[in-house]
Amino acid sequence: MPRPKSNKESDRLRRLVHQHLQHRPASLAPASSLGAHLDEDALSAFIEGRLSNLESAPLVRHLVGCGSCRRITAQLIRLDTELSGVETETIPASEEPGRIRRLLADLASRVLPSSEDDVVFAYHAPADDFEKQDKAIEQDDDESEEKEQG
Amino acid sequence: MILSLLTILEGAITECAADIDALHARCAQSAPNYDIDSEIFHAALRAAIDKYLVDEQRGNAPTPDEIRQFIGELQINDLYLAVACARGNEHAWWEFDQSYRGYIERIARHLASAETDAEEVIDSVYVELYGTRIVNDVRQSKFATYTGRGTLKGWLRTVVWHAVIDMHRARRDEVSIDDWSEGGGEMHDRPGWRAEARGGESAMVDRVMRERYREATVAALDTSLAMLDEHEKLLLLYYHVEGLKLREIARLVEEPQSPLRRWFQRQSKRRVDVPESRVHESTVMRWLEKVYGKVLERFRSELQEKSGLSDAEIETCVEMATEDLAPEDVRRHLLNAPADS
Repeated sequence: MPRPKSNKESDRLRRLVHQHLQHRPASLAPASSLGAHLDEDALSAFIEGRLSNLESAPLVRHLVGCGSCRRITAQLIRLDTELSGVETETIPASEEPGRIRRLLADLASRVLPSSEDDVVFAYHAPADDFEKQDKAIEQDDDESEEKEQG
Repeated sequence: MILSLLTILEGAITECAADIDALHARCAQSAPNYDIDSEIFHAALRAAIDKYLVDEQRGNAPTPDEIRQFIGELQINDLYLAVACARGNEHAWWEFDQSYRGYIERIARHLASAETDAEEVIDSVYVELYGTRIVNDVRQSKFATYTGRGTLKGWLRTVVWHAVIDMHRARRDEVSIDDWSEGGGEMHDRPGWRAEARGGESAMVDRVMRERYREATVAALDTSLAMLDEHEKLLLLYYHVEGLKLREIARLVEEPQSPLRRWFQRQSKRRVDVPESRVHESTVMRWLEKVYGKVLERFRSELQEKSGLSDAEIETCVEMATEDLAPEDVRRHLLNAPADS
């Protein structure tokens, strides 16, 4: 396979391809039979390089033909680069007892019933040990407050 | 799904039942209070297998070995957490919130603009993850669409990104991603071959010549690009159309399993012995140059064989396409071109 002979030739070729693709990106693939757009699961698995040849082949084909999905992957790659190397803080475990319960209750209250007969329960099986944990934390707080006052 | 395909698939999954059970036992041991029984776990893995390993169009079903490898590569703890969250398990949500809220907040703050408040984005992501629609008595949690193929973190990044886009669109009524994103140049209308508006006989000759070369060049480039492999096309599109920088493409292929990386490394004898080594920007540049080389070879042969152009005329085509020569320069360029050898 001939490689460009010089930097000048390489640069000319780069510009030639660049100008052509800027005008006619669809020349690389007709937009027909692309199927549905890629979902978050497939997009992120592709970007992370987790897919086998068998799995990635239809995705690569889709990304060549679908400017929308390709642009999303490009944006996500940029985002990944921008966010890399920065640690995110985790919320301290005992920061706010019962917060998750309230969060789930709030989320459950926003569920839209599909019919009048639908009854939506707040969330799945609240666990007793959470209540115990909350109580223990509250008790600890009370004790420390008493100690401080004493 | 075709019956025979389904039968083969069921058989292969049944053969892997013990492996799936072993995975479930491992997950249940590390998170005993997520309340995911074997049936639910099997269903989650089945959804992932259906999505990535079954090719209905070609009638391909995976073998038991392929399934074993696939489930072995899944981000199984992430999937276990997502399945439990989809079912609304409080322990799982607590764990999720502890581990990922900070990350979600960081992406939301990074992406949110003046119009889209980060807090609003975070709220909408949590609502979407939990699910507000009920279909057949089942709450449609976004978590149910996660298969564990990529990391939960990577998946969340994409979910948050989409939430920001949706919110932005809602605010701006029909604003497209193209307008929002800073990349995506392909939709922009750029002036190409310079339009000429000159009178006179020589200008008319110029226009005719110019049109001939233009048509030949465009057709030859179309053909040359169309014969590339899909991986080569995608690399060109990321670089030239989406405007990704070499270092950003290098990051995309950072993971040794990256499809682009594997494909290009298979073409390169030099790197095949060190598949785990880091891909540098210079490597991506080399890949691009190889693709340009292929395009050039085909481009020249197309112009010579199909359009019957001489070397000098081919040079003119390249010059016109890259320099966008003014019409009167075309003949001058041809006159100055060295004779064909």
